This record gives sequence, structure tokens and C-alpha cells, in this order.
Amino acid sequence: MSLPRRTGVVASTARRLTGFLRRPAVIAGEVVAFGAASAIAASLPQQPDAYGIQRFAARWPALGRVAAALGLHDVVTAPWFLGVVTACLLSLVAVQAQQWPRLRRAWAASPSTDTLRGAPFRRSAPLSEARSVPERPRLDTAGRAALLGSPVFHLGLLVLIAAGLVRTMTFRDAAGRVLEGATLGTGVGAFEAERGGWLSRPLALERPISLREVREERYASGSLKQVAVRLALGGDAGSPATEREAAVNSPLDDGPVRLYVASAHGLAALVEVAGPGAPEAVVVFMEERGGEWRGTHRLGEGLELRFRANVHQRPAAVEVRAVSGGLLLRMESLAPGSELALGGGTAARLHGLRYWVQLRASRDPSRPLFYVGAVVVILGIILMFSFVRVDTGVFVEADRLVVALRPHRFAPLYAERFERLCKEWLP
Amino acid sequence: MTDRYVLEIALHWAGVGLYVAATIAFVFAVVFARPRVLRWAMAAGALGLVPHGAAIVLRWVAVGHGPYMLKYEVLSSNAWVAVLVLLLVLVRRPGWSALAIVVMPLAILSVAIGLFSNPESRELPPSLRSIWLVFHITFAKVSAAAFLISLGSSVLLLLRERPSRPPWLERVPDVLALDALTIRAAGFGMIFWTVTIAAGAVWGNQAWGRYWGWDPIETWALVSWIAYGSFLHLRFFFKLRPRPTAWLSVAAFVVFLLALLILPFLMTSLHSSYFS
Ligand code: HEM
Repeated sequence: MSLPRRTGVVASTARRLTGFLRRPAVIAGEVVAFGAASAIAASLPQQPDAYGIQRFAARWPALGRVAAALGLHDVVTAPWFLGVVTACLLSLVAVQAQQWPRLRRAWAASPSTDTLRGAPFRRSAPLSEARSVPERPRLDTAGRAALLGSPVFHLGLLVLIAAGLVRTMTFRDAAGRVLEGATLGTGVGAFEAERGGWLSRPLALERPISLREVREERYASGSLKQVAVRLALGGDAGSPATEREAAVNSPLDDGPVRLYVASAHGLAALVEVAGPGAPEAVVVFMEERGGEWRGTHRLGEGLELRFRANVHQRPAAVEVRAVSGGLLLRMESLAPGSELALGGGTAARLHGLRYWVQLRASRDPSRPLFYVGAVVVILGIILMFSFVRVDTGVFVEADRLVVALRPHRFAPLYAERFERLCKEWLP
Repeated sequence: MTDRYVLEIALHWAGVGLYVAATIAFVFAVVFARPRVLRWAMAAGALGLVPHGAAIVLRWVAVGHGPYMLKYEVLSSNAWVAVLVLLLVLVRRPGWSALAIVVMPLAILSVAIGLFSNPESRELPPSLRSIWLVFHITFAKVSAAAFLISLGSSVLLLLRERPSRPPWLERVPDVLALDALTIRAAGFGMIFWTVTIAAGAVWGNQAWGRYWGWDPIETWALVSWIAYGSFLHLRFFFKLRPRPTAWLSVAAFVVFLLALLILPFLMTSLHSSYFS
């Protein structure tokens, strides 16, 4: 096959493909498929909610099997979903390639007596009866900005989809419970849990971050109002640490990593269980339940320690109960330094009480792209529906004064405007 | 029951009473072609906004947060915005007053369902203390009003298209005008709903560290946005006639209603902390 012929084949295949991608039925199918996939993702439990998925399968076994077989519990990473997204992306590119040149032509076009011949609103009267007659044809167009609406909106969609794909591949999220006084190191794996896209590198802080203090604010009723933290950034290798604040809804940027404070927080009891063997140091994380901090530590052989404290102010002591098989064995209010004897030479000594908070870290290169896409989409939809291009004309044709109005959309809503225009010129 | 709460409920019912009076007047004006009664209908509706608005403000001041946590607050304030938007549309276009016959009863129903739900106030949790929430909620309410107008127009269109229709339906705007209004109002709804979702994404980024996390409630908002997008595409691409267009508009509204008012109160999601 000769080279020009091959180029011709490529060009015609590309033409056919873009033609296909621009077909109304294809576009409508893609948009509906994306909506349906999103509806499935919103209705069925999704990964990583393993418990939810298990519960769903136990409740509806047949549906559970079908959902598992079709990958409906992990819609947004399923190959078929990525296929739908890619198809949308390709169609958008094909549509955009047509929209912008068309926009230039449409923008340049101005109304003429010819284009107004088919106007939905047109009335005429003999010149002798007209209120006044313009010297030259008055041809006007308003609301041209409407023409920008669809191209700008779909450009924004393209950017948003691109942002979504970039995020899927490159995001990195990490989360962990951090105790007051603890430091998150600069190495990889500083957080309890971490996940990310296929191309993402593990998250590593640029400098160590220590949690100096967790401050909580409560309403008079006792319910939580705000959780804020005081952090020390850096401070290794002899350099002084910088102190910064962060809170729920008020994240902190440190290099490419953004740190978030979650509402999930609580009290932690630092306990040492000493017995015949080596002493064991444990951190009992307490969470808020029923207006109290509560937490449990299991010691084995059915014996457990239950911790309880008031949430209203930073507690100076916790109530500790030793329970075995539902039976209360011992109970004591422990302040740091005191201990609860558990019998058999074993004792639980409270070393300290500190707050803990869940800190999240995230690195997401797609963020700027997402914000640009969102702004462009909003701008596009405003242009699309707040502006309507309307051509008007007042001109003489065959000894009659013609008044014409041609809205490019929503024509029936312009009857009143047309009447007002007629009143100016016609009897 | 506190005095404040009793006053709040009384103001609500005063608002509902005036809305009912307005609805009756709208029906009378449209069905019996009495344009003079229309003025009374508008006045009663506008007057109803006063005690209803006062009830919302009273609660706002008492609980320290806007009307967006409880079903009671959400439904009542959505109805207030819907009635306000309807009246603003009718001031500009009195010829559209038949819309009130659909929109007003739905607004009244919304306040009534709110009033019969649990009114116990809850304080704002930390994640909701964000300026983005204010944008998110405000625009959601305006989009609900715009979609409701679009629904009203499609319902009138479907009634008008019936072969055996009562004579008063001849006096509502013609099918083509109703069709245009259905699309235009849906378009305005899309503007506000787009801003709602975008503001939610910015807020999600601040509160949870990601602008989009496929949480069920945010995904349902996206689904309803796409439902309206699909409806507008289908109509545009296939040059649908007014009747199928109106049915699609009703279907898109049902999805929107599910996303905005029904599922948030039923599903477990990150948003569950404030819908109850
Ligand atoms: C696969 C992705 C999509 C493609 C290829 C696409 C393409 C198109 C095309 C070709 C038009 C006709 C207008 C014109 O030619 O300028 C259009 C109109 C429109 N699209 Fe899309 N679109 C897509 C996704 C969406 C989505 C997700 C939404 C919103 C949820 C949306 C909302 C609209 C609206 C509101 C209109 C205007 C309809 C009207 O003027 O009545 N599109 N789209």
C-alpha cells in the first residue's frame, strides 16, 4: 500500500470515528450510562466498606452474587466504568473540535433582512401607518454571549473529567490517630493507613510534625463545636520548630502535603499492665458515646478493662472497671500515677491521659485542575441559560415597515418583548 | 415545649394559612378568569412569607445555625424560597399564574411534612462550620425552586395536552410557551444546582481532604445533575415534542427530589451527621 493511500485510510477512519463519537445517540448513551453507573455506585455499598458489602450479600444473596460478579461494589475503579468515562472524554474532544470553529462562524454572523425573513415574530404595516420609519434598516443582535455557553460548559466538563482521571491515578490519602505529644516522622508510613492511585508515590512529610495540643470546644449542651490542634512543624536537626494551628475545615499546607483535622478525636489512656510477666504498655483510645469518653482494653481470658470519663472538660482522671464475663470485679477512679489491682499480682497503672485526633494527609495534583474545571462549567452553564441571542430588525420591505424578532431559543417566551417593539413602530 | 417553639409553630401555621388562602385565590383567578383576584392571591402569598420567614429566623437565632439540619428546617425553608421565587416570577409574568396551582400546594405540603417531623434542634457539628456550606445550602434551595417551577410548567403542559380538558386550561399559556418555560426553568435550576455541587466539593475538600469521594449523598446529587443534563440532551438532540419533554422533566424532578430530600434522610453517608 502506498503512503498517501495509507494516510487517506487513517484520515477517513479518524473522520468516521469522530463522526461516531459526535452522534447524538452515542452522546446521549454515554451521559445516561455515566448517570446510571453513578446511581449504582451511590446505591450499593462500595469498596473499601467491606462490612457494608458483607451485610448486603447476607441480606440479598442473589443480588449480592450478581453485584460481586459484575464488579458493582467497586464501580469507580471498574474497567467498564473507566470505559464509559473514556468514551465521554473522547466524545467531548470530538464535539469541542467542532464547537469552537462553529462558534467563530456563529459569532460573526449578524442579522440581515434575509435571516429575519423566517423570524417567529414578524409583523408589518404600510409605511403610511407606521409610527415612525427608520432612515436605514435597524438590525440588531443581543445576547451573543449565549453562543459561548455550550462550548465553555463542555470544555469545563472535559477539564473535570481530566481532573478525575488525574486524581484516580495520582492521589494519595493517609490517615491516622495521633496522640498529643506524638510526632509524625518524615519517613514513608508515618500514618496508620494510606491509599493512593496507581501512579502515586507513598506519602512522606517534608519535615516532622508534632501534635502539641488538641483543643476541643463544646456547646453548653455538651455537643462538639470545634476540634483544633496546635502543631509544631520541623524542629529536627537543631532548627527551631514553627508552630501552626489547624482545625476541622481549616487544613494546613506543608509543602505538597495538606493536613486535615477530622472530627474523629477522643481521649487516650496510657496504661501499663504489670503482672508476673513483662509489663505491657497499651494505649486505650476512647471515643465519645452517650456524652462520655468510653474505651475498652481486652486482657485475655475474658477479662477486660473498661474506661470512662466525662467529655465536658479535659479529664484529670478516668473511671476504670475490670469486668469478666459481664461481671464487675473492680472499679476505681484513676488519676495518672495510680493503679488498679486486678488480682493474681496483676495491676493496671495509668501513666497519663491525653487527647488523640485523627489527622489526615492528602496529596492531590488534580486539585487545581478540578477547580478550574468547576469554574469553567459554572461559567458555561450561566452563559447557556442566562443569555439568549435575540436578533431584531425594523426595516422597509415592499412599501411596508417590517418589525421582526428572532430569539435563537425559547421563542414563545418573547411574545411580550415583540409586542413592546411593535408598539414603538407600528400602529 | 418552650414559648419560643410554640410561637415558631404558630407563625408557621399562620404562613401555611395564608398560602392556602393564596392558593384558593390563584385557583379562583385562573379557573374563573378573574384577573382582579390574582392581585389578592399574590398579596396573600407575599403576606404568608412574612410569618413563615419570621418562624425560620426565630429558629435560626435560637439554634444558632441556618435551616439545613433537620427535615423540619430543610422542608420549611425550601418551601419559603419556592414561594418567593414563584411570586417573583409572577410579578414579572402575571400570565403564568397557573403555575401557582401546582407550585403552591407542593410548597404547602413541604411545610406540613416538615411541621409533622421531629423538631428537636441539634447543634452544628464541627464539619458543618464552613462558609462553603452556606453557599451549598443557599444554592440548593434556589435550584429546588427553579426545578419546581419547571415541574409546574410540565404538569400544566401535560394537563393541557389531554384530549378532554376543562375549559380553564385553555387560558393557561399555550403548549409551546409551557414547553419553553419548562426548559428555561430547568436551565436556571441547572445553574444553581451546578454551583451547589461545586460549593459542596470545595467544602468536602476542606472538611474531609477530598473534593470528590463518591459518598452516596454527593453521588446522588451528581446523578440528579446528570438526570437534568440527560433530559436537556435528549430534548435538544432528538427535537422532542412538548409531551415527552414534559414527562422527562417530571422524571428528572423525581430523581432530584430523591437526591435532595429523600435519600439524605435514609442513607448512611458522611452527610448523615446533619440530616436526621
Ligand atoms: C459525553 C459527554 C458530553 C458530550 C459529548 C456532550 C455534547 C453535547 C452537545 C453536542 C450538545 C449540543 C449543543 C451544541 O452543539 O453546542 C450538548 C448540549 C448540552 N449538554 Fe452536553 N455533552 C456531554 C455531557 C453533558 C453533561 C454531563 C451535561 C450536564 C449534566 C451536559 C449538559 C448539556 C446541556 C445543558 C446542553 C444544552 C441543551 C440545550 O441547549 O437545551 N452535557 N451537549
